[in-house]
Amino acid sequence: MLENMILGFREAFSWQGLGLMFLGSVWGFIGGALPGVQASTAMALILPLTWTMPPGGALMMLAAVYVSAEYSGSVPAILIRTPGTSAALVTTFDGYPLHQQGKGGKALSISLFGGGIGQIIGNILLVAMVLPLSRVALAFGPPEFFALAIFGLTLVASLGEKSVSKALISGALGVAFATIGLDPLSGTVRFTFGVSYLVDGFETVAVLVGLLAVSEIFIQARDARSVGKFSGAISTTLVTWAEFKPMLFLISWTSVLGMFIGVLPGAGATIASLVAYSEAKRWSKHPEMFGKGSYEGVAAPETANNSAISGAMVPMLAFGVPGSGSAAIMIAALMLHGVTPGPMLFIKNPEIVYGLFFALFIATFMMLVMGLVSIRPLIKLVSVPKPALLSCILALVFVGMYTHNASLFNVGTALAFGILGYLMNRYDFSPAACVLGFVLGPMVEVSFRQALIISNKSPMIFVQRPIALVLLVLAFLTFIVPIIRFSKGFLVARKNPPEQV
Amino acid sequence: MHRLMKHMNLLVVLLVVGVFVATPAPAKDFPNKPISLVTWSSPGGGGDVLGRNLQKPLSRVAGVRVIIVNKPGGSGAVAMEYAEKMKPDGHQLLIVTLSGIITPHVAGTRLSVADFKGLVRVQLDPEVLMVKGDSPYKNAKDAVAAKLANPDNIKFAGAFLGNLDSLLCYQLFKASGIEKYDYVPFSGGGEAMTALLGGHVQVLFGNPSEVAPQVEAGQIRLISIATPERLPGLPNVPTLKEQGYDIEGVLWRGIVAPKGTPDDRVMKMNQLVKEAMQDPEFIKYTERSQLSDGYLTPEQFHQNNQKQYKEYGEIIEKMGIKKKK
Repeated sequence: MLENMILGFREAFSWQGLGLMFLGSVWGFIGGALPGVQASTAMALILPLTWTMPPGGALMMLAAVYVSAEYSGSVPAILIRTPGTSAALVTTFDGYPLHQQGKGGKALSISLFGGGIGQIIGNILLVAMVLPLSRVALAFGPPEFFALAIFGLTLVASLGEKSVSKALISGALGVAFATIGLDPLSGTVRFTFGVSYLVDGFETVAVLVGLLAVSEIFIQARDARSVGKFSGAISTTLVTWAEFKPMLFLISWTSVLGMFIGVLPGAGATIASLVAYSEAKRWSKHPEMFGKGSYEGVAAPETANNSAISGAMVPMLAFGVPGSGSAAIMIAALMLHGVTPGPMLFIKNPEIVYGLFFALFIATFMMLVMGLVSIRPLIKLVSVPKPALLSCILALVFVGMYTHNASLFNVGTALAFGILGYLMNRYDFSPAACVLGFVLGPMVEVSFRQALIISNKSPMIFVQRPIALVLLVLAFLTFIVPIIRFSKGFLVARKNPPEQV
Repeated sequence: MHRLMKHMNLLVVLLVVGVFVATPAPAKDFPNKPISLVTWSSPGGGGDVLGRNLQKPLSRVAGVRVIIVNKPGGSGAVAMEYAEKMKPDGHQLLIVTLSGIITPHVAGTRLSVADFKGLVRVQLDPEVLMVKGDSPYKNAKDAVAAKLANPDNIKFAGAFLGNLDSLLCYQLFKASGIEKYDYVPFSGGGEAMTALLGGHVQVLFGNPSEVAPQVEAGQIRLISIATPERLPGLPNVPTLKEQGYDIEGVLWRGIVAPKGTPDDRVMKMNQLVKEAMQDPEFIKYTERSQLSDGYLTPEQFHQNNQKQYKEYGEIIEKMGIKKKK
């Protein structure tokens, strides 16, 4: 084994390996920061380039893209409230308010350091515990996935600052949109009205970008103060050690949490960041700060979405099954090179595996360096006059949507959902809740029905399986506690009316 | 007027140059333009991988560049609509698989592979039944017997309903007298495989290529194959036929051309692809992916598509999932 470690080490630290990883990091950084280009999209776009590389090198470069992209997705999320990757969706909740308060630099650096630590912890867990962790992946069957998805959906309830019911309606709308397309369980094609592009349903990225990015652009364009520069003090100062230290415990356990969720095939960085945010809020000493600019609200999801990358590697290395969409690209890269990922990879090509491990650490380092160097310029960049900034972003979004599938249909989708998001925002419905419903809805529906087929229509299966039961209880608690708090506060206010108005 | 005269020289020069540029190069015989292989797979998917492995050998024997064009979406509908409008000059072709014949029945989309001109069938990807490595079932008969004895707790699974996996399961159940069709569909092969390994389902339909590493590691065992005869690469896997089931299921991949492509060009391209398939690198890829050679002439392939379109349409109708067009 030591011999293979040395082989992997040499390949990772060779000039060629380092060069490829640097290119990958830069490309991932740019791609992740572009709203509309996900980590997986960025990886898919350079996949053809890897055709001529050795398989180990290709994998290392893709890993570098993945790692950087998951951080840089938070850059536009924090600076202009439009996530660059779907996993950064949750980062907009607290990241953008922080930037508005002039603390953009702090938010970005928290995201960077949290992500870096998350990645390192995730990497260590990956290297040390690949095989035991793979058993976690196996323990999740349809009932467990259903419970996990429901748990994710309960976060929707807490997204309604002004009205829980409006948030739920938005979420339900998202779930409804997700039903459009081919239903895998009955073979029927739903709600496509004959449009062939819709047989696969709306493209997730287009919906996400439309509801969050395009709508945000419309909203900001409508704002009378938008002509001219961003007002308010802009601070590029980074987070201080004193501010960061109290969050170390939070970062440690969200890393582990993110890692475990990444391990589950089909649940990747997005769900990891969701659950991390939800849990951070639950255990925080200042939950009321969440949504208004809480440092923890940025640290938790950004840590989790990076550690989820390592998690996604587990099923890939143990079974050859992707733990996330981006991991699927890495598997495709391996297969294009004639290397079949799976349990035999450790035995037949251990140098690829160890090369990947080292690459993940190197990529983390590169991400940290690039992130640090770019914080100041990026903040200055978004201080340009808004009309210029917004039009550039809109143009980039459309290009990103087009490159996804080489079709204008996705561009149209993004635009349509952008208009919808704008309208939703005007009437205090949360577009983010709609996105969550859209992303989680299919998992809820499909696993629910699969579970019932397995249990022969008995709903008891959700109670009999321990993991599913635990998750469902947690989901219930997450859902009910804000409602109890709200009604308690309501009752208290009625008993003690405020002294002055 | 003087102005025009001044520019006259320039105009003449441009005209002459234009004529030379517009004159086509001395016509090399077909193919004389880059070949486009359109596929509905995204990069890394089955059709895409086939195209990329065919690229080098085909461009060598054809003497022109070969490009892969990915047009994913609509489970193939997008690519087929694009291909319908392609120029039928033999340079623009579509990579297809059996799913392009089955899915249109289920999704109700307008076009199917049978609407194109068969050019060549390249490879075969057989359907197999598999179980977890430590399962007691040795063949399909064992699995069926277990299901008949314990219908509620033994579950068969595979890819989404409407996929060849689900059709095969339906045919097997019907032939064995299993009454309830409680097939568990999964969105992807990977998820289905983890469900099998985790013990959530007991028997899985799929292709050997998807699980080759797991089979090698002993985590998964193939217990039956749906080809007419045992495959040389899998000598220990009994066929469904020899166990008494008259059921066949083979996923194939091939290339078709838009309607109206001249027959002689179709035949010429068929021969070129056939030659490319003999390339040692291509053969290595085929073996590595547990695929087998499935060469058919244009006429054979075209007839095959028409026949299978009808046959699978009937099965889908019996299953109750046919979409009225």
